[in-house]
Amino acid sequence: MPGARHGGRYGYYDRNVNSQMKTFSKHNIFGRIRDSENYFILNPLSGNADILTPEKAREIREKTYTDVEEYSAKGYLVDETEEDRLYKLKYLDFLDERESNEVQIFFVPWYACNFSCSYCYQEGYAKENAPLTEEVINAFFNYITREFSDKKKYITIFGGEPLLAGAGARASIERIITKAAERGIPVAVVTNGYYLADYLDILAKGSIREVQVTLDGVRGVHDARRPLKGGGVTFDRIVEGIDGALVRGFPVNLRMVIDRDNIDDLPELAEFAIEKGWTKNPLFKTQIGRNYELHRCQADSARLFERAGLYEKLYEIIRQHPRVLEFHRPAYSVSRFLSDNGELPVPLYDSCPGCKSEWAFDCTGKIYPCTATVGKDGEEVGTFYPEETKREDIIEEWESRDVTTIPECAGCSLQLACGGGCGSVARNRTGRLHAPDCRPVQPLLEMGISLYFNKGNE
Amino acid sequence: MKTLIKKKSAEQCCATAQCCAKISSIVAGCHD
Repeated sequence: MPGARHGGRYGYYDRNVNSQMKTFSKHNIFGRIRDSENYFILNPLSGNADILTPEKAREIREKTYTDVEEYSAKGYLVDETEEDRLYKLKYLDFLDERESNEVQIFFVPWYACNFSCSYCYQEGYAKENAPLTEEVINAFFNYITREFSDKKKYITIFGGEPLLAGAGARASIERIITKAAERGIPVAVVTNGYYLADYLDILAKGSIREVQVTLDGVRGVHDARRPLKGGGVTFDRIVEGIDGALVRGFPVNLRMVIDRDNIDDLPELAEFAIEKGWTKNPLFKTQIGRNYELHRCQADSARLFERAGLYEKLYEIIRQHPRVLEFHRPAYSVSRFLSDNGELPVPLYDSCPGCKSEWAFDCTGKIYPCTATVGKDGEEVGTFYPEETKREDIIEEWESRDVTTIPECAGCSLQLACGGGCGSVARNRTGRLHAPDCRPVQPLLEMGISLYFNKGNE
Repeated sequence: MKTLIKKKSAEQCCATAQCCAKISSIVAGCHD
């Protein structure tokens, strides 16, 4: 009875149902599944996701719903006041959950590196060349032991490149790992992998959570992008390091940094990893990093992907080379999670961990919000050495950043799948920390649901 | 309308996915 229905922007009213105003939820995400006639509707707040036939999708577009009870039960049609209450309740749950989450504490022993990667985002940083002293290491451990005493935590050793050659570097890394082990704190290491094999005995002295290593392709492509400083190939030694780490029982997270120059090498790297037996090893996992301009412009920006563009290309590659999925399954927003777990993740009110569940400490005694900001002049939020200081006002600004404090997120239906993105990127772009770094959630879901749910035919 | 919500038991979940691992990489989902 169209005559009995009155809609606002998304409004729907049917006097014959329950005399209550039901509106199309502002958190609904609705779209067409890529390469399919089917559609999807998903609501991160209510936690529901459904495949729709073209006929049902037309009902949504025309607001002529025939399954009102089901739509209401699933939170696609809502009473706005009730939905606002649910939004607030789940926000409180989110804050509670984050409060109890593990904290990731980065430590940069030095900014020196033996590689000369073509896209290094730390290239312009003023480097501190003073050797890391035992005093700084002790101050770091004293600080985190006290400041995060009631928190589960782990340390991620970062750089620069932490695993460098030389007795001094080895002694420093050993000291950090041993001190962490004495306090029962697990350690992860982010390394280029060149000296990884030489460090395995030292790593074995700690509880190693993960070793992150980067390969940007198979031998030729990788070596061209990630050579030694002054020249020299690196691929074979890194592979040896990965093999050794896996044999010793250390989890390995292999990262591939992608742009237009190397993305076509992904299927070959995937085959390489499959042939090596890495992908069958439960200790092995992968991630894809997008080469992008974090703090400064790159000389060859034409090779960079926008986020959606990268995932478009990955979609195309996976359709042509499905075995790539044995190597890496891109998240496509919440698509992979939904496929793996049969449910949606909790609503994402915030995707920036800076000064919340992530902190970064460096060899100069400075404290930063996160890995994106560590080492960048002017980004520090305090010091732990030689004296302890805190920029409470700046920390508060980071701590309070989420989709409820970013004005642009307020009217966005994607906010609880996006989380507002990276604070550092947002501020670099707009000058404001409480600005959005929008994720292309809509196209990502269109592609991801197609890939992980067989075009909606499952 | 066909739901995509098919909650698995914890045992199935751990057997099929690394969802319980909760290990952050350097990106931790916040930047690329």
